[in-house]
Amino acid sequence: MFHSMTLHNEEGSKENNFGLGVFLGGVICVFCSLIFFSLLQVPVPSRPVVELIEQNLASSGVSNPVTAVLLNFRSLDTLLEIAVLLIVALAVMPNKLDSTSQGFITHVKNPHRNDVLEAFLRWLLPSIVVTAGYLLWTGASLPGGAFQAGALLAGAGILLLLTGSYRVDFSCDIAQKMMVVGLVIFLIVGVGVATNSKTILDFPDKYAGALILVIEVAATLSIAMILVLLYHSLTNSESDKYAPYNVDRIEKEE
Amino acid sequence: MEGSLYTAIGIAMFGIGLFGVVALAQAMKKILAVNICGVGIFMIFIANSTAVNGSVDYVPHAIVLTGIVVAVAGTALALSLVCRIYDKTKQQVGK
Repeated sequence: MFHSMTLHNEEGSKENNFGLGVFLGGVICVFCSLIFFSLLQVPVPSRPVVELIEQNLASSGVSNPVTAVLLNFRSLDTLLEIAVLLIVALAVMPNKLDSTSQGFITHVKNPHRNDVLEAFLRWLLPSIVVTAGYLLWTGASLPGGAFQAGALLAGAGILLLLTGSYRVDFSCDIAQKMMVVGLVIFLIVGVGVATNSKTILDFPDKYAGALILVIEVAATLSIAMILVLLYHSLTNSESDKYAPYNVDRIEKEE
Repeated sequence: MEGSLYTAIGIAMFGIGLFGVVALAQAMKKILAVNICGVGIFMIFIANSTAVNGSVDYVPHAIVLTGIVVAVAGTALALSLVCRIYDKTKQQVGK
């Protein structure tokens, strides 16, 4: 169905395509305005859940309501989200295991070395790591947390890949362990607290803050690792042979 | 209604993305369009998360944060499929 509806740029049918496009645009405009005006009719809800969250904030272990929802009141969503990330990581994993790899990160001589980028990274990377740690820690009371910190660390990793001076092997042991550690720690803590309260992911009030911190540190590592893997798997495909940072091509040139 | 401007912008982004998904043939453009759709939906979600007394509901914020990460993962999966198809067939998906 979709195939027949897509606008093909073949010669001879351009006018027909233009008309179809205008028609589609019109239909979507009408549809969107209908949604908008129907949303305007909806009365503003009273949202009793806000008061529930604010009443129970003291027992959640953190003082930032969003973090409390993410990691205590609705922690199952966050657990499944980390599981989704891991599933995608498994799906894009390089399918050929590199038996010749010499560990997780090996230095490669890059003839196209970008001195400006590398010199800049010497200043930038330590501050990125410190900022990620700060974001992780501040998530307890202010906006921040595992995902923000993980995204920052992943940015640092992607900058390192862009230099083209490092060969990274994500199929080695330590990388795989880092990818699963977030989900594993989350599951261990979630099932572990069930021995106390008979419900999984129901943290005891006294230790909730510490448990959330443990989960977030592990999740940060996993998220950063998986995001870098996603980037790496996209840029190191065979079709990307003109990228300046494709390590395989650099080695072939030598 | 609070934040009706942001709701309108979110719905407009959703519409633009929907048009792109249906009308554009190239897989890369389709993936971009789906992302624009998703951002529009997140915006509608956040714009409508206020209560009668002006307080903000935290649950939509947390759920959208979760949604952003899942959207990133889905985009990466779609892009890797496109790359894999190109590597195998040496043809782009949708000319």
